[in-house]
Amino acid sequence: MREKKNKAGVEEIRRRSMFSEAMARLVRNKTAMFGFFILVTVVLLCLAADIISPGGYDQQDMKSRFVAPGLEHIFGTDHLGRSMLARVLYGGRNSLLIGFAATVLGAAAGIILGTISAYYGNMVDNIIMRILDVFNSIPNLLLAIVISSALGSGKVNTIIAVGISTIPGFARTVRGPILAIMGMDYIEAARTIDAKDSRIMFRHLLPNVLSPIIVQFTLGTAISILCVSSLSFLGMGIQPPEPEWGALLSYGRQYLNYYPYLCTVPGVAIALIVFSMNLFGDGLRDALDPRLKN
Amino acid sequence: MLRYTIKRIIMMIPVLLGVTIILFFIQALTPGNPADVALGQDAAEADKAAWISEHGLDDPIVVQYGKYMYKIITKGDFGTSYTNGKPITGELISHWPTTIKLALMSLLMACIIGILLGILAAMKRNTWIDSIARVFSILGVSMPNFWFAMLLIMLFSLKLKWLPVSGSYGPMYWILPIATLGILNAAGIMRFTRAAMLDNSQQDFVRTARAKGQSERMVIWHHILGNAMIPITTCIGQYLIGALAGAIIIEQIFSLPGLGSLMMTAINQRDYPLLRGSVLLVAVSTSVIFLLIDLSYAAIDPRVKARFKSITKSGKLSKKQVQKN
Repeated sequence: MREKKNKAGVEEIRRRSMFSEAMARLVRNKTAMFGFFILVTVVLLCLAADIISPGGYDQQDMKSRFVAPGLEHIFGTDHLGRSMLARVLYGGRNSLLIGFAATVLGAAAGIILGTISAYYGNMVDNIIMRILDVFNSIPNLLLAIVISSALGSGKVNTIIAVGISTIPGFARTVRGPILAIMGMDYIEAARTIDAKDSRIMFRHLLPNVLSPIIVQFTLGTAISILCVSSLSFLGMGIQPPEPEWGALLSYGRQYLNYYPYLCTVPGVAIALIVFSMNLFGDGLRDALDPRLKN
Repeated sequence: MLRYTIKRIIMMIPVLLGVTIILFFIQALTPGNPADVALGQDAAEADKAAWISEHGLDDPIVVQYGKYMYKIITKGDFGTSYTNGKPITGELISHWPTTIKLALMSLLMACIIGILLGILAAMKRNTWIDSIARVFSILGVSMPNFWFAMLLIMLFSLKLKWLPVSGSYGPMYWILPIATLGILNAAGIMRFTRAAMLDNSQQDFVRTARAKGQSERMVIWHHILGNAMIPITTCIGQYLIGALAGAIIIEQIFSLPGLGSLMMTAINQRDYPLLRGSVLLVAVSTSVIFLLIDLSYAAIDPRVKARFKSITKSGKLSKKQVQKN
């Protein structure tokens, strides 16, 4: 009887991997879960834009221009009678998708560059890091503005512009921790059995620096979304009539005095999504690396 | 110390050269004819061709780059604007003060609010003061600056009519732009200050200071804050760079004639030499700020200062010190 209990106890301990430990810590963190809840809600609402507003974001109704938010139009209508609800939801799709895609692009490039840089060291490291220094000396948003001004507007170009501006951040996030584990025995062991460089990098090094990557990815997506909407706000990035949160704010600015709700809705949307990602990202960091928590 | 500074300044040169190369090639490869921008779409083809050769744009790109750099290095001449033909150096000099004033004033405000709130939150840890400060910090980090600027305009200019909406005709016009960047950056600085204070408050030297009966004020301001200043300085430098970038958008909203407005004009009119010059100026400032952050460590931290001295003596960093860095 007693033996059985012990056995069960051992199994219980075994079943909890480091990852599930972290997840358990994350679920216990109320603020992080609150952020996650908002994030999921907003993303689902944007994905359901077709169902909530089947008319699309460009359906005009000249009889109901500038209708204040109310029962008929929850978020009101703009100067062409288009529903702000539809425009914010479809705009959210653009903001979220472009921000996310840009971060994926930047993460992929940055992680590869950072890993190669740390793994080969010396000359390679020097060259890659000096090139990244060049990009680092131009603030993120400004870099995105310059690249975007050369590429032109549009979704793909905006993804590229914002994505490139996030590369140095990811490269640095990966490089530091990898340098720290390069001297570990298991890397030495992998080398001794003649493992290929790519195998050591992707099987042995990267999985061990996953935590900072996950955290950087969450917080980086928030920054990318801000960057995308800043670009559109400045008249680059996404062009009207296609909606995007920053573009909607820029449009609403001219009516700030008389129809402030045109700005309030997209403004709150951006702040909310970035807020929720920051809450969730902070929670993730605390969960994945409890030493950092205070 | 001096040797280190000179070395760092020399190290800035390849970075800035890299910036000019990237900017130059990105823009030279951009489709579209600059002559269309300068002379208008309808100008005669012969005039356009003449304009192109006058500006040396028919040379190979490497030659163009060489000429561009030669002029900058020998005469400090960034070329002339495509659209109005004015020298770019003059344009930069006339627009730069507005941006740097906005960035520095807002950073000063951010430091005062951020550091004080951060200390308060760390000392009153896990009380309602701490909770409010934390919500403020995450809200501030999440708020897009252009949206916050509009909120302030709605409240203080349109509703209460205390402050002007936009323009640049006196001190009153500066309050909202400075407040926008100042409050938002304060949130970030507060977060860092709180974390750095808490980190240091658990150190042995704090216990020692308390054990020898030093006053709580001395412990907080001298022992804890003194040591927390290193991460805080790094953070402040980062926010100064952020404020420079943020100023681009804020200047647009408040119609301030700064570098940001200049850049947006340059982008809208495809005035590449002007855009190149402005971005280069920002890159130089960023590099200088990075250098100042590193040098300020020596001023704040006697340990770093001692290390600088040993570098100067031995001429270069020992292996142990390199690893530490």
